[in-house]
Amino acid sequence: MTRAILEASAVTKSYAIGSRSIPVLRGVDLSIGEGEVVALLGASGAGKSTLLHVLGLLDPPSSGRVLFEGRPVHDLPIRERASLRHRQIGFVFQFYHLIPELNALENVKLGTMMDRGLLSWMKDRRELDERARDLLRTVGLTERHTHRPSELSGGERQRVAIARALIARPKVILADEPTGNLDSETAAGVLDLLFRINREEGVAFLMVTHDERLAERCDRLIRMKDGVVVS
Amino acid sequence: MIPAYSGFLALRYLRTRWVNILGTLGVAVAVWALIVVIAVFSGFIGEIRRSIRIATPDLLATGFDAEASFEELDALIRSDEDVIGTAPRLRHHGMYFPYGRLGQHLQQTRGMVTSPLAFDFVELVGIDPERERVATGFETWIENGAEHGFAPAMPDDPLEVPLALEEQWRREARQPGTPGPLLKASPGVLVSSRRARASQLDLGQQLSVVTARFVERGDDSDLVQVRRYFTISGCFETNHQILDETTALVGIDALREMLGQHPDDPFAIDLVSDVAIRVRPGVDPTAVATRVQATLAASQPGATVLTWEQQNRVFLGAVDQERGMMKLILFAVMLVAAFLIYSTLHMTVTQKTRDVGILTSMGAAPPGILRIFLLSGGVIGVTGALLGVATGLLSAHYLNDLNDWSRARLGVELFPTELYSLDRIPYEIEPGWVTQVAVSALVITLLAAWLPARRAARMDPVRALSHE
Ligand SMILES: Nc1ncnc2c1ncn2[C@@H]1O[C@H](COP(=O)(O)OP(=O)(O)OP(=O)(O)O)[C@@H](O)[C@H]1O
Ligand SMILES: [Mg+2]
Repeated sequence: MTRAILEASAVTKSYAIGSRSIPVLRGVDLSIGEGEVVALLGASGAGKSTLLHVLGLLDPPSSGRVLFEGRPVHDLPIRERASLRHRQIGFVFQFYHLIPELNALENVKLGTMMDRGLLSWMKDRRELDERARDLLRTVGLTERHTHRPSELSGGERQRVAIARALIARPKVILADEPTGNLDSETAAGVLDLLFRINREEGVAFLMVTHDERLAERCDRLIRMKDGVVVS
Repeated sequence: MIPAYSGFLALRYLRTRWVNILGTLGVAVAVWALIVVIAVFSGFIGEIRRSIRIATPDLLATGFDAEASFEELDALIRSDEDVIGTAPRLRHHGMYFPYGRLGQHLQQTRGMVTSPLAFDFVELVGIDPERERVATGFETWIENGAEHGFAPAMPDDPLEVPLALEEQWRREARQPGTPGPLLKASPGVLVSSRRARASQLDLGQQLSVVTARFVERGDDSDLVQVRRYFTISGCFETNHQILDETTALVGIDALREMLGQHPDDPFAIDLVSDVAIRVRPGVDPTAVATRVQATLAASQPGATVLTWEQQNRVFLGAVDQERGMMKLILFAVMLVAAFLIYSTLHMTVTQKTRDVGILTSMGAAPPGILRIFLLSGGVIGVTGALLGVATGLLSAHYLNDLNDWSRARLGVELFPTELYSLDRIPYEIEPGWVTQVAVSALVITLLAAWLPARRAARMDPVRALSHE
């Protein structure tokens, strides 16, 4: 196996509802290697999304550690975690999660504004604009760059979301049911795109899915049940 | 550093939500009102201060003993090298009513021959016109009076009844039924033109002036009525309303005589209650006041020397207080605007909850999220303040044109200049105040924006992501 970029060790997560504490993750160990595509399967409510959020530094674990390239990350100051999330980790969601007020191109460009001041961004904006357009072409969106999300189809929206996740050149993309909201034909296209990106850019993927056939195509397969990894 | 996305999204969120115009307009209206209303108020106060200043000597020495003699006081006061003029004043209360043929007619038409209301109470101020000319703005008062009514062009002695009038009386005296002997030239009295108009008094009208004084009777003293005839020889007007309403000016010797100090009597005292002082221009009057008071202290321990502002302390304090109240009331408009901004931004934050989750997943940190909404408030505040300052300055500048236009076209007077006997609406724009208003508008909007912004920054990104 290649060098691990993202690891979870004995990660637990519970949510407090009133005075009760509901365990969602109960000691998860896993590791994702560089350039690996890992499928994450499990019944609804197994804790897959929760795990993704913990791995992506959106949510702190209740106990256990998350390591990025061997470094524990949840102890880092909030700004450093944000910057790590920005530069190394990309998110793709089932419901695309684009900003409705921005057009396709702007949604992608937003990814270049996270660690730059307004002035420095303005200085490089032509170059960044070009990069965003290139990326949109890479994900197969050759036109409709100035369309708002509401004017795009589901597949197109997900392609924009993928371009957005890629623009900061992350090492790993956490995709939560990226094709869950698409018809099978569109889904196949989006998946082909993801695998191509993995091949061409060497980006690792942790992909939550319910599709066993998709899971077959992945390098590795992890199953979860009731907050633990079962295989 | 403000991250680029904060500014970018702040502008985009504003642009896609026209409701923010309301907050901007609210701030603009508040700033506008605070500039225009206070500018007019200040202009008006400036006007009042100017007229009060004209009506008030540089310094006024007062609080002397009853037996104080002007000659002695004058020597002491003038010993200060920065005093360039002095004028004696004698104040005494009294009342008057129109007298003579015309006066009787007047009283009859007013139906007040025997009415206790037939009298006008006044403060009789005895002056020396020659010295007042040097020591105070006396000349201006007379000129103002002439402008407003019927005072003759500045005569050598405004308290002298013009010869032409006397001749007219002589003609009238030959008419049957007139009380001839009373029409002999009597000393002049100056009333304010405002008062003359109100009481239908005219130049040459005789007034019976009544006051009282104590007279010694053996070991005891008795209050006796003193009554003299005066003739209105002119009018004055200081625009200092209180002074104009309550004062009648007579010759100081005439008033001294009424109080038992006949000028020809070798034992008479040159009675004086105040001394008006003119200070050398460019010299600090307060310093002179302190010095003169110290000089007077030896012989007149009760005497005080007041600057023109101290002399009108109560009145000036009252108008300043009114302006302060007005500022407070108008700031309430600003608060309303702030509430408006708060509620629209609060709404925006609720609508954009999921965006907060998305942005966090992309690498945004809470401070950057906070700045999105703080900047939104900042843009609203700056735009509103600039708009308010611009319209405020413009409308203050064109206030008179606006007033003329609305009077001509709509028949509505925005500011009744007549009421205050002004021909233009006065205004005074103080750059300090404008800056203060603009800055506080900005601060208040930022505070209003800060609360929703903080709410956004404190959101749990995972929950935010699943927000519908
Ligand atoms: N913020 C929360 N507060 C309380 N409980 C939560 C919270 N988030 C998730 N849960 C609970 O944790 C459990 C796991 O949720 P999670 O979303 O991780 O499941 P999942 O495996 O992604 O399911 P699905 O396949 O339906 O997306 C669920 O029972 C859910 O009710
Ligand atoms: Mg899920």
